[in-house]
Amino acid sequence: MRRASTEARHGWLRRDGWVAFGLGTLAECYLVFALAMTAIAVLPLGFGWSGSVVQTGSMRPHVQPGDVVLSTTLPEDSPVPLGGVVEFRTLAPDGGERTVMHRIVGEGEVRGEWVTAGDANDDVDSDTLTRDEITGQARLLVRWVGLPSIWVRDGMTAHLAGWAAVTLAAIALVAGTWPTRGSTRPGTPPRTPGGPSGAPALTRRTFLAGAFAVTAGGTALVSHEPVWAGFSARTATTSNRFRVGTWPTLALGRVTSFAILAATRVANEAFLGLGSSVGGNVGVSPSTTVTGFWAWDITGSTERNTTTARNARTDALALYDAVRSRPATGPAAATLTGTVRPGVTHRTGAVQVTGTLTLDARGDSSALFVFSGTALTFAAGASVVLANGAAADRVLFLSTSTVSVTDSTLVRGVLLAHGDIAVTRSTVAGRLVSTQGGVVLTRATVTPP
Amino acid sequence: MATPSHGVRRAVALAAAPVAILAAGAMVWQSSTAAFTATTRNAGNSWSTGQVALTDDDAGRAGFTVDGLVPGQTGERCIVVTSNSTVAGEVRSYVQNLSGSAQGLEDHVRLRVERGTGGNFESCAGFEAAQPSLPAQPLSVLAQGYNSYATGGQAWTTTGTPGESTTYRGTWTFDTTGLTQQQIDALQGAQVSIDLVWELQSADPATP
Repeated sequence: MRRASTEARHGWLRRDGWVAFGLGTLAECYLVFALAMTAIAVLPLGFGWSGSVVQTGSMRPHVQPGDVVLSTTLPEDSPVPLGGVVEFRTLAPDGGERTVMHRIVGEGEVRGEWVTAGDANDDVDSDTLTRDEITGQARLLVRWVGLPSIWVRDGMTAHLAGWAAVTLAAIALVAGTWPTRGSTRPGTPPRTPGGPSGAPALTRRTFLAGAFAVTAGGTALVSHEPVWAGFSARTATTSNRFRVGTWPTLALGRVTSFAILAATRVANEAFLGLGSSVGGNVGVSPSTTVTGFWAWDITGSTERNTTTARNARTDALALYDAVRSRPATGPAAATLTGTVRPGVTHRTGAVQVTGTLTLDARGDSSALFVFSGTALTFAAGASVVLANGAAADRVLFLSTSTVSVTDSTLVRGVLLAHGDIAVTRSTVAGRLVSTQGGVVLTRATVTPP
Repeated sequence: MATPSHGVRRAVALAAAPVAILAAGAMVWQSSTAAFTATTRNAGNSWSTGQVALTDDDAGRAGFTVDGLVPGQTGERCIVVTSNSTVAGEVRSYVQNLSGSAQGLEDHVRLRVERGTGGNFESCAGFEAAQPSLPAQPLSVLAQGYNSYATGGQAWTTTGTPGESTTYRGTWTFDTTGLTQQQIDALQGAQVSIDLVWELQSADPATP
């Protein structure tokens, strides 16, 4: 009996005791479980399914890195699985393509497009998905089986070694604790190998083969195409708005029906009225004074504060204000000469035009030239040349006081003055408009464009 | 009983393998069902905030709100983009939701986006570009060529340290070069709007 009690004390720790038995059973369960999982992950591949090892965690918590996802192609006649998880090819940041596994969370704004998202992402994916781009619908999720491949990829040798050690230990435990011929209990007859009562259900060899299968299956999955379930997040500054302002287009309006328009008077002060001519209408408003012209000097009508004249003056006043309020596009010069490009200049001070002033519209017949100053003088012999499509009605010379055009000058454009305009022995191919003053010609020719 | 009896061993040996196989099957079934047949995603689950987040300092304001635009006008705005992500990745800048005008204003508002350091939403003072910028492009061109993460530009590589930030500077110009005055006048009152988006995507895993 002493022997029996000793045996009872130490029996728990014996090779065929309870502890070893429990550990062995655990190890067996682990190995069979691992085998089964691997088999589930690998076998469907033989039936046309495809398997991928999830690399990243944007589908957490349901899908973790290291899980294997088995997917089938989406049958032609089945609807797009809203709420389902699909794999699709997408542009990778490096310019190539990659496979992404995300959930379809809704329909896109465009019919036939679908919005996808990673479960763990706050934001939906920025690109929508069309049905054609879906390469597979996820069907089976096999946990952990791809972990060894992740460890290999990331060089996590400690994890890999730990897992291998546990597995090998399990194999050793199972193989070691399994009752074999040598471990029969006293008093029981020795078993015969292969006999119905004594054969181990799993032999050492079987377990080694199983262990190989687990390892091989796990590492075989390394070569599976990785599927990217990446995290993404976005921030945006939305509704940036650019609205173009409005500005007066400086249209002449009803001024265009006049060659000369004045407020106080239009006078021809040439000797005996000879040598001045106006190739258009002459208007005056609110005054009615038009003096010094012979009947044949003015080819058009003479509007003495008529409705036409009043309307034209209204537009002239508006134009004057519009020109003055139009923002300048460049610095203003006191002396205008040489070639000038379209633009608006405002000078606080007098402006003089000398020599040849070439206005180059660069092919734009709508190009606008505005020169404004507090007084405006065209020096003797000055000439304004319109080049490359410039139009006289789009050339505005503005003076907040008077305009003086002296001998032998050729002006092209509209002279717009607050005060008096005096043109002496010169030609104006354009218009003379005084909003508050008069226009005085002395042997001058005015022809509207 | 010091050691498990033969009967126990036999019973356990017979039961263990089927139980483990059943467990594996049940687990695959359960996890597959949970992951792949749920019809909605878990919006706002705890992973969301912990893993990736990208914020900026615009406090909900639009970066550019320019009214009364006149030809040749230009302006700039800086915005600090902060990554609170624990995973490494890359932030790219692109545009979305261009709402153009009938007059085609989007062809004449040019935008250049640079990335660097310094400055904030209130002021670009102190901004220094960290990498060469692309030339200014019309909004219409941006909307065509830089409208997704894959085509986005001005990349910023994040290390996965929460709190890292960078500054983007947008410089716009209302460029009417080559337009006739008539065409410019026709743009009066035209309005375009566009969203500027910064997106972070976690880095690709290293190739095995």
